[in-house]
Amino acid sequence: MSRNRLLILVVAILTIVAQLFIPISMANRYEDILQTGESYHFKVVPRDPADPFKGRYVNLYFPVQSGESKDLENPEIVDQLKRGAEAYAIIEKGPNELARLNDIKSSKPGGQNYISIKNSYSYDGKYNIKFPFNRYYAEESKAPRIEALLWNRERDADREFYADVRMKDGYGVIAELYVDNTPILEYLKQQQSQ
Amino acid sequence: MSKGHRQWLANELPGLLSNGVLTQSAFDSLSQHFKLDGLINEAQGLSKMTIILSAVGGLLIGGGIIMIFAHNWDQISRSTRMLLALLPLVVAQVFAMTGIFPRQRGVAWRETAAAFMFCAVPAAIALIGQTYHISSDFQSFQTLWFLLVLPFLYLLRSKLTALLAMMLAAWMAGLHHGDYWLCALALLPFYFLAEPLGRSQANPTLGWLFALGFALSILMNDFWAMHNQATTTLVLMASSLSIYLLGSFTEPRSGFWLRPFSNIGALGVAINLFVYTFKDVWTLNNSDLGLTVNSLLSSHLMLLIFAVAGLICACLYKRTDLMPLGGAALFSIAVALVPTSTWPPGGFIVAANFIVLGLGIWYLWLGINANSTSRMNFGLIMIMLIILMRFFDQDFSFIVKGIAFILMGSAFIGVNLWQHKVNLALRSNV
Repeated sequence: MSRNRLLILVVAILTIVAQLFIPISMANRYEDILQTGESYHFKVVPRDPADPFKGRYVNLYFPVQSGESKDLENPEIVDQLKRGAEAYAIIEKGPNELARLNDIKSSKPGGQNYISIKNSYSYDGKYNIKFPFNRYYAEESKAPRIEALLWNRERDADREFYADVRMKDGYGVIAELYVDNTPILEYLKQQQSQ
Repeated sequence: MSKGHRQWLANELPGLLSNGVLTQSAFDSLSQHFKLDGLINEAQGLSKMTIILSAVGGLLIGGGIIMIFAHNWDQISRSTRMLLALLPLVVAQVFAMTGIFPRQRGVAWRETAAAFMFCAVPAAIALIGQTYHISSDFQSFQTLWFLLVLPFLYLLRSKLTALLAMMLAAWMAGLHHGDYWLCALALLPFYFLAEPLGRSQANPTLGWLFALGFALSILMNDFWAMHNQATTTLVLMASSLSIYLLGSFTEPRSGFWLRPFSNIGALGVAINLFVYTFKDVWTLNNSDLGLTVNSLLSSHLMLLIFAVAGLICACLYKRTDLMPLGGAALFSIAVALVPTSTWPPGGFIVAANFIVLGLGIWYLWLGINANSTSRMNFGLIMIMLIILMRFFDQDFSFIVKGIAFILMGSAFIGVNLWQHKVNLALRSNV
């Protein structure tokens, strides 16, 4: 094999390895978080749908994402948050096992569970942070039904909607969406059979 | 020679020409000797259609797979989804590898394999994101997509995928703040080395699309780098000059359609020079140009260096034909760098008008001498536009303005008719 052909073969193999390595390592990281990450329940509110590559989803908003800086331990750090800056949101378990924001730090905290956040900002003493997990992808016929269900939550005030998020090393992965402790897809099935 | 043999030769000759085995004159002599013109056109038409249909087929299949995955089958387990995500990618990789090894396959095979891979890579990443409910970081998604497809685009020498990748680069440059013009730059060797698109007389359209995509990527990236109007004109001038010089050094010296980069760059420089002739650009305070160099790869800094280096090369290689436009652009860049607070711009506004007028006359002269209609008209348009623009600045009556319009229109038609006559006379002499 000529040197030129050998170079082409090496470049082709390296690209193939990279093309396989990236999706596999992504899946491996998220699978590990789902298996070994700590579970936190986040109260959810819906937003809207559809990604051209990944299909229909329910855009979720977690009420813990926003609040007043003075309620946090270090409000001065929060007030310095700029759009695009990297920060770390420390999450803890509050009453009813629901997740709540403990603090936001500019350096990685040790010994506490945290989520790496970007594109977060603060204004007038209020903060707004963006979690890297705010989409729940569902089968195209089910996503609008889940969304409708979440939008009607005011009528079902006694029902509790939350997301089970597994957290590890700054990453979070949504394991399931729940309605009154029932996985949402199961809940939809029960509703349909009634 | 039997018709079958002639047909075989007609099918083989274009490939031998593009691979450099035959020179253009040998190709012409052979096709003339065996009377192959009609057969070659027929064969090229058929093979082009096969290539286009195969590549579009590859794209449609890839797009179809993305849409089927987007349905989101919740009955399928995570491990099966993982396999499903990788399956089209592995098929695309096998398909691509058989296009290169053990020997290089035909264009249709390579174009289809590359088009299929162009869809399989984002499909795999998207399905993993869908399975684990990962929010779309579209910037990382697009960057990964581009980088993972780029090597195979070169290895498979796929024109269609190069064009799609250029569109992706322009999309990224427009959408995200960052040095995404480097993606467009990474595709340039494909145009100039791997596949001489712009130099192929048979298909200049692809070359033009490629050049437009490149210019658009640079333009989009420039908009992110701009801080005020003074910086805007400076950055756009440096970009246009770089594209002009790049094309001038790599493309043939004649033939309008064979020079996409030179022509797009020259048009950019001319538009910027026109902008400089307006007073409003200079009344803005440019004392803070905002040229904050965040990284050495910032487009405005790199393009400025490219432009200056290009002009130095033009001097070294005695390319005097590049000096008028290149010199005018560089002079404007140098003037724009001087804060207006220390240097009243009135003199330069007058100079800019004369520069545009001078360039117009030079292009008109060049066009007449080289018998080039495109250069001649480019010069004429520059002259007329600068006269018209300054004319409207003054408070002349409608009658005077009307007469000026008629005179200029007559001059335009007259010069073109004269050029047409010269061409006819030249042809009849031949």
